[in-house]
Order: sequence, then structure tokens, then C-alpha cells
Amino acid sequence: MDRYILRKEDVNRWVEALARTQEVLAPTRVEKEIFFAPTQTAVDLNLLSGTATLPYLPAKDLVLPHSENLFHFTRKGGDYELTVPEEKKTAVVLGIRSCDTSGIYWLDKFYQENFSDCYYWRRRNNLILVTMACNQPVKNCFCVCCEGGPFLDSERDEFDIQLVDLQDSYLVECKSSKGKALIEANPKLFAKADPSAVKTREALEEKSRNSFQPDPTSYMSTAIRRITSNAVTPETWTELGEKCFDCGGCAFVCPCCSCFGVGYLNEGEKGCHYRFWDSCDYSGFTREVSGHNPRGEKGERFKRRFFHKLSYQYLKRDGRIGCVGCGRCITACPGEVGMPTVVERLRK
Amino acid sequence: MFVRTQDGEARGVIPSTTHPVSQGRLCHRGWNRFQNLRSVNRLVKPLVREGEGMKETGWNEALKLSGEKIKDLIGRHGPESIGVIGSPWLSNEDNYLVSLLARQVIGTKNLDGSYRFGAAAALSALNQLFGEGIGAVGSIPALKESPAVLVVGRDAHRDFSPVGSRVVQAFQQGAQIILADASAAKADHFYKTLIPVPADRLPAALAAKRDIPLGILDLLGKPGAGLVFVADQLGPSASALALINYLIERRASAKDLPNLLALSRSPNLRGAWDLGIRPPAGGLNLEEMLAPESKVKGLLVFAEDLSVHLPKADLLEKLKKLDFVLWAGRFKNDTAQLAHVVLPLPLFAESEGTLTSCEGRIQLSRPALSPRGESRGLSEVLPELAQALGKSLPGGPAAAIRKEIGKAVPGYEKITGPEVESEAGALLAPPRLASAPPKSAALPVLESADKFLLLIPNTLYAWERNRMIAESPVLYIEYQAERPALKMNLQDAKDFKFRPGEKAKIRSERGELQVALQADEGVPRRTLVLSSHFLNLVESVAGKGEIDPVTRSVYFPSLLVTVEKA
Amino acid sequence: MSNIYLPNLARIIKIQDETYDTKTFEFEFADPKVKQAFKFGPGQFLEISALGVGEAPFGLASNPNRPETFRVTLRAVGAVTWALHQKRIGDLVGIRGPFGNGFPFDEYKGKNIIFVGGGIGLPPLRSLIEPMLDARSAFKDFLILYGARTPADQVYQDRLKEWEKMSEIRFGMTVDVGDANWKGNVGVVTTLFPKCNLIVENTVVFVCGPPIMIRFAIMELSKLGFKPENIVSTLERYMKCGVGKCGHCAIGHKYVCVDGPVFNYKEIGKLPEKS
Repeated sequence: MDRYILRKEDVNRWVEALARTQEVLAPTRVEKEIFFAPTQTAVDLNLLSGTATLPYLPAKDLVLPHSENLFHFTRKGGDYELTVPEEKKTAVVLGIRSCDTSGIYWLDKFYQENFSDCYYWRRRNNLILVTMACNQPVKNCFCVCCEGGPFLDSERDEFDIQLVDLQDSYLVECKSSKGKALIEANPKLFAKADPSAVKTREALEEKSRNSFQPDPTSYMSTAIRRITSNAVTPETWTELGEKCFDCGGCAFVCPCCSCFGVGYLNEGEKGCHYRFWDSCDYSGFTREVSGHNPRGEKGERFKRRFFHKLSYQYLKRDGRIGCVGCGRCITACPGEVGMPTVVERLRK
Repeated sequence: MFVRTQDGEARGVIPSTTHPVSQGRLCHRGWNRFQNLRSVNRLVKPLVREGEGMKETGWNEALKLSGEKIKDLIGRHGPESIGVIGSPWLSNEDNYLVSLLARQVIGTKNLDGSYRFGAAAALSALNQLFGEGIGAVGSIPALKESPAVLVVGRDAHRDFSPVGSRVVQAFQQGAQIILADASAAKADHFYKTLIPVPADRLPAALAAKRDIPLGILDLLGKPGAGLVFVADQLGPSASALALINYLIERRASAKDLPNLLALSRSPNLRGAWDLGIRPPAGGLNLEEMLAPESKVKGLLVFAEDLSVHLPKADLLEKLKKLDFVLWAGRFKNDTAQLAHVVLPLPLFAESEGTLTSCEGRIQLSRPALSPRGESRGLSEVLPELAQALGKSLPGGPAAAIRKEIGKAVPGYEKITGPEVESEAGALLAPPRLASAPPKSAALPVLESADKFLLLIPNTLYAWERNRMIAESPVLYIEYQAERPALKMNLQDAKDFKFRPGEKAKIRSERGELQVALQADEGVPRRTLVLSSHFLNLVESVAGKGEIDPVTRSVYFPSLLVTVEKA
Repeated sequence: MSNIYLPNLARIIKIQDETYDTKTFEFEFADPKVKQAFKFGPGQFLEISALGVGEAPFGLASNPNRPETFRVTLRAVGAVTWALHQKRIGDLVGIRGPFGNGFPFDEYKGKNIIFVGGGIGLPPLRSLIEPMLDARSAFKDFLILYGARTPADQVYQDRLKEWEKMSEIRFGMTVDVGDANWKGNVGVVTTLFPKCNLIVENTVVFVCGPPIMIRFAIMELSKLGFKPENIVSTLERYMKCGVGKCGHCAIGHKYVCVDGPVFNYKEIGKLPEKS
């Protein structure tokens, strides 16, 4: 791994240079909400590295958008012509937080199991992720309980680039060849980091890890054990399920939720099939055409969601639990029954 | 809420995290909103009737033809032969123009909305209590601080996420939450008390303090206490008035009013009502316009699939026989099928306009998409139609129409101000209780040891919403189509030894009915539920229903019935 | 990168009415290269789409030894099957697949074989029955039992008659409710068990049919001493992608589309929720 120092006053010069050859997406306020939006220059440094909140949607949205067209068809006499929509060029995602990067790693693994999902991978392969380590967690954060942050592990994680805010400058940790290319194209902006910067980095990570509020999610392992051994009673699931509004919001904002549905449109001689985020909270998720629904009960659907997120069976399959601790489900849930609340309840 | 687009198509949505009501949360309809924006069942061109079918035509031809038909009817039968139907699925600006079209251009007093058969009862009650400009009678954010909330109907919680989420938050802060619902066998975790009586009988049950610990009723008199109900399901106006009065009378101090949230599944119920979509004195309401003996010959229907809203079969027959029906809307539906002229309108997401929420919050909706096909907004179309009738109407951009509204509509002065353009929108003035609020007698609680209580919930108010559901692949399977059956408690069905699908015979003082049974664990013991949209079934057992003297419209009260095997 | 979500077009070359609401369609891929490359195993399924209307999974119901053309049998119950039922010979549909684990054919060699099919549950078994009959000598005792609600609900009536005449297999048929012409057994399919001298040792039983029939068949088979691992069935779930990604068909950590649809009852018993 290479380590450099990038002075804050040089950030926009770097962005400008990168934007000449590819799209640069940085956290940007659009109508007050934060999105990863194309940036030519003048990155909002406070959104990039401050304790500002996460974008409402995880960066999953860049690789698995809310909906995307799979193919279009045109009827020509008795025949059909099928076309797959084009996808755009490479982009650098600047300022993605470690929880979202971890979420994308989870999706990477999932979307290459059995076969490569071409819609996912043609987006994913075009992205270079420049992760911003979090020096200060905010209210809903619990990544520290889920190995989702606050810093990516410089030894273990195969990231492109990780930035650490050292006040006047960033420590730039660079691992992959994709990441290195971003540095090598602009070598003048990057100075080699000296060992003291690494020391500071370690101190910052330690400090950040210690500044999470005491949180019920430290019982994550208990919840995992109880779900894995099927020790949670149906009554508990029903009780939790009753709090759920079936809105699907938690799944949509979850960096690790990957389920989708497919819609079909047909207008005259043309049409398309498109896929969209779906949620196992919906009763229609498993309802069969006959009306039979193997997961018709609220509690069973709730169990399903958390079995997928936290059971050892999935942990073994996916290499990590299906939660990165970003806390977005807390924001999105009208029933106040996000991950920490559930984990706390399952502990008992 | 924001619609996200790509290549001119809706591809996703996200809630606003900074809006005081939504706070980053949506319901399942909200989250899947982009799907129905992609619907392929949209009207894209004006259509005119040609024999049995419809023919595409241009806007000029369609408006010219409409003008001629309307002029002809006025010439032969006078302006009162025309009826005009506005809609809670139109913006304030559009409803204002529809109202002017009726009153000033055509000169008819026959003006109404399809909420005549539902929410008009509750809104009339609010009018009686607070005068013409009802004002900001409720606050969703403030619900969180309530000491006690009375929720009428369990749907009011999950189906309206921002409200439900405040109810949950209030519960977490120690508030007492009471559910009144006769069709719920049990209540969700945060309800302290379940009052198992239908909404129309609720005031009597409260007065008799049935099933309710006294301390809780006292809390309903504390400042900030909330009453949450679905406006379309509160029964006749007298019941709505008695219920609201109950809370007003219990309040400890004269200056505090209860937090009243009259929810609706239509996005602009309050706006349509406030902007005058109801008959002025001497005008016919929708039911009277379509009564068999009515002299109305032509109906101009805006944005509402009227044919599926009608609570009586003879109203539908009349609608089909009218000399002229103009339908302006978004989707290919049953009303478009029977119209003589069809005009395609853009959806909210395709046009600019303000909506007034149940709180009395005026909010601006900005277009995220361009209008589908050749659809055009009413602010362009209605001035042209007025011209075809030899009159004029204000038109132009939505902001210009808002200026007119600010001058003309009581309580809507703020609609022109900068607040409307802000994210939180502009709240109407606080409500002012009329000096002598009217009283009303409540319906008695129905009780009988040997009979079943038949509930006929009003389901005839949300069909535009049902259309939006049908146009989304997620929601389409989420909401299963209801079967024309009578719901009965599972254990009761077992006691009767009813086999699945077997028919029951139910008999009331008004009639009798043989109908397939559907056993349902969610229904309480000795209770039956039959949705009001199964018109023929409902009329067999409930006869012609009752007429609400305030709304001058039909409603079906709950009944006592006997049950036997058919 | 190949696009697993993009269907190949296939032409309907034959339509056979089975019952009043069930038809068998025979397809062949429009693209000769696709046709040539196409292979499938017994018990696998296809995702078939009426373009613009919808897509749904259907078990292959023909002999995998002859993959040039292939058949599915489908009952009109929802939007997709309804749209497919409206199609005529020569029309094109979209097909993806084959998907699923399928039956491990070779593992059954040297064993006694029992098929228990009910109504529309026979088609998926047929993709296994036919290749087994092609290699009849590889298996020992061979018994097919088929039950339908009424004689009019029987699928593959011509083939049933052939099976009845075959000397190398044992075959039993029953209906829940007979009609004037029905001379055979009346009663649910399990009523055939006592009449057929079922061999328990070294036997695999394949069960497929409506959920209630499966439940009773399993109950009876267990009573007779069949072990769960020797009772094999195919599960059905609401499905979208067919490749383990959309999440709809997951039961516990198993995906019916990838880990199934073929499961034995030992595996099904281990799942953490109802199958």
C-alpha cells in the first residue's frame, strides 16, 4: 500500500484534473438532500470529510439504482427486436464513507456468486471508490459493531483509495491499481506520507472508535447467535413485526439489501422490462398467483429480513453480516424499529 | 418527496429528510410512486365519441365540440342542465378554475366533488365548527407531543406513515393511544385501549364511557390531545360533529383546540373543498345531479373515475344516459369509456400546482417530468373552453392563478407568499371556533345478544388511488383485490360450520342477502364486514341506506343482522 | 459479459390442450445457434416471458435427451399464463434458462423408483420419467402413480395410456371423483399405496402435486417407513430472476431457483421456516 499526503487546498485541483477524463461524483446538496452528483471542481469539503450526515441513499444507488431498464423490445411483424440500454463511462466516487464502501463490497460478492450480474458489474467496474474515513461518527452510526467502519482496514480491505482527514491535509491510502492510476496521473499533488502521519491516522481511528455512543448494537453477536439457532420465538417476531409499517424503506436505504422485482411495460409495439428495488417486508413479495402466501404473516416477514441480515448461514455464505451499521434504517423507519432496536430486543 | 428521473422517465423517489412532516420517511405507496408515473395506461390524446368507440382527435376539435355541446344544452335547457365535478386529485389552482368555470362561465350552481359520498360529512362538520375557512386544524409534527390520541380506524396508522410514525413516537413518550374500530379483532402494540364500535356510533360510546378507563378520557381533554381519523370513513355529518365536539367540550382551557387530523387517501381533499368544489346555496350536489329525476343533462367531470365512486346503482345508470359527459383525466378508465369527450391531463409530477394537506399546509408541487403525450394542464385548457363558450377565465402560469386565489378565497391569502415555495409550505391561519358551535345528536350504540353487527365500511372514495396502485407492479400484488364476499370471524365461521366459499344468508330489517363468506382472523367475534363498493350486495341487505341531512347524500349505517346457512 | 436477464426468443411449434385450463406448449429457439447449444437436465425450469406482460418460472416437461425442442405444461392462473395461453403456433416468447439444480439422474441408478404425481404436478416429473424410461435397465422396480381430481383433469392422457400398456413399468391411476366413463380407481392418490406393494428398501420416491396432496403423500410414505432423504420433491415459489439474485424465492438461506427446485425431505425439514 502507498501512502501520500494531499493538501486540502489541492483537492479541487485534483478533482478538476480527474474530471477532465472521467466523471467525478462527490457528495453534493441538491434541494437540501445529499447525493453523489457530478462535480467539475469546488467540492464541498465539509460534506466530503466533515461530520456531515451520510447521503440519504447509500452508494448502492450507483451500482443498483432504484430502477433500471433491463431491455427494450420492439415488435416487428411476427418478430421482436430486443435491445439493452447503454451504460455510461467511468466515474470516480469521491467521499463515499466506509460503511457504504463495505456495503458495495457485500454487493460485489453477492453479484458474482453463481454468475456475474452484467447490469451490476458494468456499473461497478466503471467506479473507482475514494473512501473517506470517519473521524467522528454521528447520532445513528453503529458501524463499529458491524465491521463497517469507521475506517476501512488498511491491511485487510482491498480498497481503491482511502482518505483520512488530518485537518490541513488528507492522508491518502492507495491500494488497488485503479486507485494508483488516480494518483499517478497527478503526481505533483501528492507527497509521500511520513511515519508521523500514519501515527496520527491510527490515533484518529482509535479516537473515532471510542466516540460511538454506548449502543445496544454491541449485542450484535447475541442477536446473531439467537437467530442462527432459531431461538427467537415466533411471538417475539410477531411483536416486532407489528411495529413495521410495511413501507419497504429500510430495505431501500440499506447498503446491503439487494432484492429486486421486475416490471413489464407494453405500449403499442414497444415495451421494456425493468427491475426495481423490492422489499421482503412487503406481503406481495412471496405471494403466489393462486393467492397462497408462504410468508403471509408479518412476523415471518420480519424474521426473514433479519435472518438474511444476521444469521450465521448467511454470514458464512457472504463473508460478513448483511449490515454495515450506517444507521439509515433508523432514519427511514416510520415504526421506529430499525436494526439497533431489533438487536436490542432479540438480546432478551 | 422527490421523483428521480433519467432519460425523461421516473426511475425512483426519495423522501425529504428536512420536511417537517415526512422527515425522511415514506409509506409503501410513496416508495413505489415512480412506478405508476411510468404507467402505460395513460391518456395521451384527446378523444371524441364515434358510435360505440372513441376516436383520437386534436385539442382544438375536442374543445370546439365540447363548447358546442355545452352551449346547445344551455340553450335548450338552461345553465342548470350542466353539472361540474372537481376533484381532490387536482391542484388548488385547477380546482379554482373548475369552480370558476361552473359558477361564472357556465353559470350553474351544480358543482361538487366525488367526496360527496364520503369526506363531505366530516368536512361539513369542520365547516360548522370553524366557519368557511377551516384553517390549520391539525398538526402532524405536534402529534408526537400529544398526551393522548384517539385514532378512529386502524388504517389511519400504517396507511399514513407520517401520522402513524408520530403516533408511535407519542406512544414512546408515554402518550395514551386509543383505537376505535369495530372491525379490528385486536389492536397493535401501542394502543392502550380498543373501543370496538363503528365510527358513526363512537360519540355515544364515548359519552357512555364504554370500555374506556376514565383517566384516559380525561387525557383527551389535555392540551395537544389528538383525534386522527380517515375523513371518508366517519359516517354521517352528525356523528363527525358529535365526535369532534366531544373533544372540544372536554378541553381544559378555552384557548386550546384538539389536534384534528382528517386524513384522506386523495392528495388534495382539503384544497378541493376549500377552493369551492361543493354546491353553493341552491345548487345540486353530485348525488342530486345524478338522481333519476334530475334535470341535469350534461356533466363535466375532472380527474375522477366517477363511475366507480357512485354508491347506488341508479346513479350509474343516470350517468350512462346523460346527453353529454366530458371527462378530463389521466388514465384510461371506466368513466373515459362512457364519456363523449375525453381530455388528457398531466399528473401532479408533470405539472406545477399547490396542494393543501390535512393539516392545512399549502405546499407547492413542482414538475419532475414533462406532460405525457399531448396532455395539457387545466390552466391552459379551461380558458380555451371558456373562450369556446364566449366567456373568459384567468389562465397562464400557476403563480398567476395563485394570485387570484389569494384575493378570492377566504383564508388562502398566504398562497401567494414566498412561504408556499419553501419546502415546509405555508400553513393556513389557525382555526377559530364559531361563537356558538352547533350540537348534534349521536347515533346510539347497537347492541343485541343474538344478532351480528354488520359493518358497511365506505370504500367508494379512493379509486384514483386504487388506479395508482394497479399501475405499480409492487403495489398491485401488495394490495390484493377484494372478493365480493362477507367477512366473518374465523371462529364464528367454524361455529356455524361454514365451509370455505359457502354462502350465508343474512337478514336485517331492511332486506336480506345471500353471499359467499370469507373467514378472517382480523374481524372480531359476532361482526360482519361488507365493503360498500359491492353495490348490489349492499343494497340487498341495507336497502337504500340513509340520507345525511347535512351532506344530502346517502350513507350506509351499521346494522344488526341475523345469520344462517343459505 | 453474458446477460443472463436477456431472454432468447423461442417459437411455439405445437400446442396441445390438456384440460379446460391447461395446455402443453412445444418450443424451439428462433436462433439456430441457441437451439444447438441448448441443453437441460431433468427437473430444471425455464423463465418464460410474454414480452411486456410478465415472466414466470415453468418446469420443463419433456425429455432432456431431446433438447432440440422442449415442452412446458401450464395452467392459466395469472397474467403471464393467461397471455401465454392466448398465443398461437408460430408466435414468439422470451425464454431464459434452464435454471435450477435438477434431479441428480445418475444417483438414482440401481434403485427402485416410485413416482407419485398429482394433477398438474406430473409435468415436472415427466422430464425425469422419460429419460429414465430411455435407460430403463439402469433402474430396478419402476412404479408411476398418478392422481387427478376428475378424469377431465388428467394431463398427458395419450402418454398415460401408453404407460398403462408398458410391461417394463408398473402404473396406477386414480381420480378423486369419477365420471360415467371412468372405470378405474376412485380416491386420492395415497389410496393406491396399499394396492401397489410399495418397496421401501433402496427406493427413491418422487412426489409432485398440489400442497395438500404432497402433505398426505409424505405422511403415508413416512408411515410405510420411507426415510425423508429418499423422498424427493420440487418446490415452487414466486420467483423473478431464476438465478438467486432477486430474493423472492428464498427459504432460510436456500434459494429455490438455485439450490432447488429439487429438494429431498431431509433438506426441507432443516429449513428454518415453512416450505
